[in-house]
Amino acid sequence: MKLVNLLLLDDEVLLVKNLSYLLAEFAERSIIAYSAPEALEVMDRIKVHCVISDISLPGMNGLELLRHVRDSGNQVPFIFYTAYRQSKLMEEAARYGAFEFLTKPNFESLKETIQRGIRVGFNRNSKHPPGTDVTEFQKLLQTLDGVLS
Amino acid sequence: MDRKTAQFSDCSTEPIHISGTIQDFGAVLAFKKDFTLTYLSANLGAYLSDLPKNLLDSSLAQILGTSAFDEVTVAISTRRYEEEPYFNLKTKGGSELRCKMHKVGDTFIMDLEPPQEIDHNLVLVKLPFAVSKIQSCSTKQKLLETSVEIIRDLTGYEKVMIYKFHPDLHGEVVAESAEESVDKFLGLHYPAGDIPSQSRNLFLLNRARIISDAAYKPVPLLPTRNAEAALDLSRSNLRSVAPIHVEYMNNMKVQASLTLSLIVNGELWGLIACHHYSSPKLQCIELRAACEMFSRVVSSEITLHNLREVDFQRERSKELRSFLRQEMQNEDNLAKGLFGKTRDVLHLLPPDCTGAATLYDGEWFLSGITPRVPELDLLIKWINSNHPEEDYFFSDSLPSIYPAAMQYKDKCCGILAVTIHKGTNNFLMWFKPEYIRDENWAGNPEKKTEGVDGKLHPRKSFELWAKTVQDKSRPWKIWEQEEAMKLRNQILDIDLKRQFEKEQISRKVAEDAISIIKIKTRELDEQRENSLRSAKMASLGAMAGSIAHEINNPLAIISTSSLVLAKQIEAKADEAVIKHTIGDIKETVERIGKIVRSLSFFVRDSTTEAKVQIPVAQLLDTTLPLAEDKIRSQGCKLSIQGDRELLVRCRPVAISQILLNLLNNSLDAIKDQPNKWIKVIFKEKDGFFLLKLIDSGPGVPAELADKLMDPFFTTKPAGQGTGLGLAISKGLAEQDKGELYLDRESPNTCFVLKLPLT
Repeated sequence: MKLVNLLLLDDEVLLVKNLSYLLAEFAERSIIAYSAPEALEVMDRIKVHCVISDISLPGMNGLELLRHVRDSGNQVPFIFYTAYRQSKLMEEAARYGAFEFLTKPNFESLKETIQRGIRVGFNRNSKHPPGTDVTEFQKLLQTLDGVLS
Repeated sequence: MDRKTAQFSDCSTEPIHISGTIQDFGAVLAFKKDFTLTYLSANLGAYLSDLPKNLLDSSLAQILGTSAFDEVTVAISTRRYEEEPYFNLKTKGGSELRCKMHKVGDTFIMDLEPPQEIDHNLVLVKLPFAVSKIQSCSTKQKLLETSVEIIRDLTGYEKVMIYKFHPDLHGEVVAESAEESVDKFLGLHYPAGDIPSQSRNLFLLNRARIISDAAYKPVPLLPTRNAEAALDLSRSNLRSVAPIHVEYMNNMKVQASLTLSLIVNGELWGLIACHHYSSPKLQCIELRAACEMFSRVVSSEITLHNLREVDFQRERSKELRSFLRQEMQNEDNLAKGLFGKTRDVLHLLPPDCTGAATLYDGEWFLSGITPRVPELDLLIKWINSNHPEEDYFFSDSLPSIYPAAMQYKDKCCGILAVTIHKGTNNFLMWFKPEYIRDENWAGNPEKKTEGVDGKLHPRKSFELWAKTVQDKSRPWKIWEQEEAMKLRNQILDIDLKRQFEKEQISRKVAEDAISIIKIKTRELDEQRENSLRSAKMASLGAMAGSIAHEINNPLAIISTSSLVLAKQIEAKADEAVIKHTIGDIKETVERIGKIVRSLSFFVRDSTTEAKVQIPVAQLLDTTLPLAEDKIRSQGCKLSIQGDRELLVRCRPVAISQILLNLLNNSLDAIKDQPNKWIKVIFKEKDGFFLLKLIDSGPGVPAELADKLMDPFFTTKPAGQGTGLGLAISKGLAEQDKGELYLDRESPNTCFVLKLPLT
């Protein structure tokens, strides 16, 4: 049986520590990274099934990381968990194929989304995102259009 | 006038009107209005009988007798003497005298003549017929010819001529009726001096001048003790004849003459000269009055003919002027309208003018026969220097005053030049060619007139003396000059209207421009306001972003920590672990508190903010948290140097806003650099608080540095910068009597905020 690997990326030390503790019931392994390069390093080494990432990060930000990851052919579900909603950032996230865009602190939503993300990431064999993922994005975009336009 | 001969002008100074003598065909009495006698002619006894012995001490009544004196007083009181050519006086002896009386100053002068036989048929039948005859003459020449015939018929003089004055005052015989036997003068010219100026003036006063006998014996006027000034006999019929005129008549072999004035428009146009050769001739006062009346009719007929002639020309010219007006209005260049079409300015002054030229704004326009342009240029130069300040200049003999014109006198011998605008070099010109003709003179007018005795003598020979007139054109007529001026005024009029229109147009353009500027200004104002609003919104948005970030992160920590805490309690974790988690929560809550304090400080409106004295630390502590997230996420090193306790008097929010703006600008500018850093250095210097914000950027290029503080200037991609941040910041600094500027000397980008310490 395969283990679920979760990557937690945020420069708020306390937050990633808490998340790692609270999400233990969904994933066998929560890997913590405080910066984008660290996260990339992790993903190079092990198969990650879902990424929870902040956008505002020292050095390379979360969006750049996502682009990087997608460019390397990795379609891992990418959940942005960030301090505030900004239409531009959300659009960019959607364009790069983010799984979901969530605003802090809203932990309940995060919990629910992570379960879906893990399911998608764990069942994904091909490098192409399955149809359900596309629907999620479109839902996201529609939400964006509705809320932020 | 270029004749410089002695002529008779020399006798124009002779006081011929106060000669002190009279002719002998009547007597003269002069008296004051109180009837005191001043003068009486020495021949009084020939006309009045029973004269008192001491004549010079007698009264008028004594001399005239009561009946005649009463007539005189009635004539004066009723002013009858002014209205009627003469009135009759019954003398003491019972005989009648014709009395013509006039007043000079306060002196009455009485001409007394005995009545003569008269053919009443002449006056009652012939004269009215004569008047209707001359009124039906179709031309002026016909009128003049008919007039001399009629006068000769009425008066019986052996020769009657009409002598016309030319503009230069020399005379020409233009009509003549004479007996076969006498010499004919028709067509002859006489120098102006033949009739000197004071004679001409006398002809204006006395329209019928008779000299009954050139060989008369002058009768002296005797002054009484009441006589004051010499008696002015200008208007007396009996006035004596100047000796030189007597000589003149003798030279012409004229024994008697009657001269009638032709006065046109108040000026002496000419004379009807009646000469008698075979004997002296005295015309009775009635006939003289009739002749005078007739000459008045002839004068008015001449006036009418002149008017008709001129009217015809004026009508033509008027029509042409209205045509030219139309043409000028169709052309941008007025002068072009005057030339080049079917008819031009040349046609304004027919038929004598054969060429016309116009100089307008430095360009020549020519029509007909004219001198060449270089010749015209020189001519204009000459006119400008010899006749400056003159509206118009004309000459019928240009070569005589401007020798260069000799070369082209066949084209331009007479010239009429009109300045279009005084003081400019714009001219209208018309040319008349030389008009060579033989002028026949009555004797050589240039012959010396001074005799061996040193006295003036009139020339003795009136033999035909022909002179070829050269270097002269036909004269310029008054109507021609008037038409030229009218055309000039018309041009000025159009010119003025155009200027007015131009001014109106430019005023309209200016007004339009102003209203466009106003609209644009309003639009710009609105745009600026919108931009300011959007800049405020954007900075508010950026701030909201930072704030959200700064608050939501700790909130997320608190929120997750509380869940962690709950789990730890449930799992009966160690007290130390639980306390640690509670500590995390407390610490994070404190973090939020700090942000909120900073926020509540920051959202205050800086415009109404009061100045306070605060330590620099407070400024930094309220500002930096709002940029901290950005600084950290960009991996930028921020260092702060200076005494944090330094006190600054300022509007804290305004200064924080400046600082935040500078920080954000720096962060945007250096975000792509590998090694990013920002230094904030502050210190006190010369009573000022100096805050330098230096970043790792390479400075601002000189060409951008100038515009940096301008509103709406931005180097950021479209949509990312309003270009107002620095402008607003500068404004805020200046409101605090401070400065915000770029330190151009610094190798790295360095902004300096300078504020007075107190």
